[in-house]
Amino acid sequence: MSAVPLRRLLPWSLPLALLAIWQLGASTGWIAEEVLPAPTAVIAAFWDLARSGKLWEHIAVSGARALVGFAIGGGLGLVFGMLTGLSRLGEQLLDTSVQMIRNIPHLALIPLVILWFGIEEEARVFLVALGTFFPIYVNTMHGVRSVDPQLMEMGRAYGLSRAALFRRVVLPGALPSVLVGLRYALGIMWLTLIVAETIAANSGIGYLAMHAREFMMVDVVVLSILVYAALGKLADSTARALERRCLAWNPAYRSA
Amino acid sequence: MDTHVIEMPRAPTVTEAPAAGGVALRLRGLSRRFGANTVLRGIDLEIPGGEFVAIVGRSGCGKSTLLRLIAGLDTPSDGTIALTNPDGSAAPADTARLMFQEPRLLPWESILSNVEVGLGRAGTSAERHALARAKLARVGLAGRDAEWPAVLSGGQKQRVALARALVARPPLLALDEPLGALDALTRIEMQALIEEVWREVGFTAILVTHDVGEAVALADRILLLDHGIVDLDIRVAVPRPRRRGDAALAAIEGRILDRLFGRA
Repeated sequence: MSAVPLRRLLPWSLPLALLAIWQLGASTGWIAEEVLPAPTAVIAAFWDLARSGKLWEHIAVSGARALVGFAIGGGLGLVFGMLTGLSRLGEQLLDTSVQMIRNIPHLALIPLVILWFGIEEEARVFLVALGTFFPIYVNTMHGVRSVDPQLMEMGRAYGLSRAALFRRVVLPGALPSVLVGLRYALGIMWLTLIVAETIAANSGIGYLAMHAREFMMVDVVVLSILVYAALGKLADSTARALERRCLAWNPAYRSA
Repeated sequence: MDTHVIEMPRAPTVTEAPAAGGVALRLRGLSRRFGANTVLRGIDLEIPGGEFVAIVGRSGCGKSTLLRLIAGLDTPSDGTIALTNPDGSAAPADTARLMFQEPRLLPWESILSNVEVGLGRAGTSAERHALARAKLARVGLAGRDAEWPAVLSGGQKQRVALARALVARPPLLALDEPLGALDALTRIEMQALIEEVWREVGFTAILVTHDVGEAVALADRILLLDHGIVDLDIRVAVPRPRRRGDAALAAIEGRILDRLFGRA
């Protein structure tokens, strides 16, 4: 047996072992069913919900909330980060205020957000946008600031226009840092959505879990948690693929 | 200011002056102050088109400041710099192309596209590719167009930087210690390459270096800068190609070093 498949399998050995212990514990009654149902029960719950189409509806609703919130928060973070990174005036005008707001945990605003928006879509989108704004903002500003001044000087000496300097020097120079911000923001995006959907929603994965809790359907609760994990992993993998593609010039990011 | 002219026997076939395609420079009363610190004190200088001038001096003597003024990266506190094309017309202040101590390549653009930075916005993309490819081949990097700069060695990166500086056939090339970070053998190779392309194209070359041996090997004329003035202006009339270890070159190098260390 060659070493490569073995090394590919190695990271999966621990989860598989835990899964086996879980199944064994549940089927022997060592783990009570109302504490943690067997993996097979979770799979059965998945099958039921998938066949009825309910699972996909909830995933679509949650996904749309996450993406809309992220697009608004991340987009604004990118624009404001560029503004404060590029201009002293922008920094003096905005940065202190942004840093003050950044120190408030955005989830602490939930009572206020419910007063403002009720439990409508706006409330959840607002929270996701607020949560994803800061990591993108901070990392974009840092990225723009850390662009090599020697390259900027070279660009000016070679007569690059301001637009060309931005496109060919500032933007790609800031990109590694922006992508770090993106990965942070994606993590916060799901975290915020989980909390917001769990507290107040009538659709989405968080609602599915809370609704199942009321009827003691532990298998659906566990399933919802696993769906969140899968969505989080999907977002992270997308961000990594984006890094490999956009930063192919950088030996540190070159795919193996 | 002392002027020494050391006349050497000439071999006419190889000492032909390069085609006078370079701009001439006239510096009048050029000064640069940074706050209370005066770096250049009223420099007057005439450099004819196509000449290869080396500027040497201790750290902080103002040689890089002078080069940055000539290259249009900085503005003088006093005095003027006039650049004149071979046809007698005035050349714009941003005529010079600059080579830095570091390659300063854009790491996220291909080697070819880095060379094309030197073309500004001129030409169609096919023309730009063709010019940049030809220049890359000239510096010995044919076929490396599509690679990232990160895969190149330090010497190869400086070759790309040289191709970028020369791709638009500038009439003035300013070199700010471009070989300072290279190992000794690579430096000798690069010196030969710079001399070759200078002889082919005929631009005016101004080289700032802390290596007196390099200045003597490459330049027609060496300026020793000290405390913001030209302390010594020496003509190196040794035929090209010059052989390393040549006695005449060694004599000039010794003279400059003596002056630097205050022994003459």
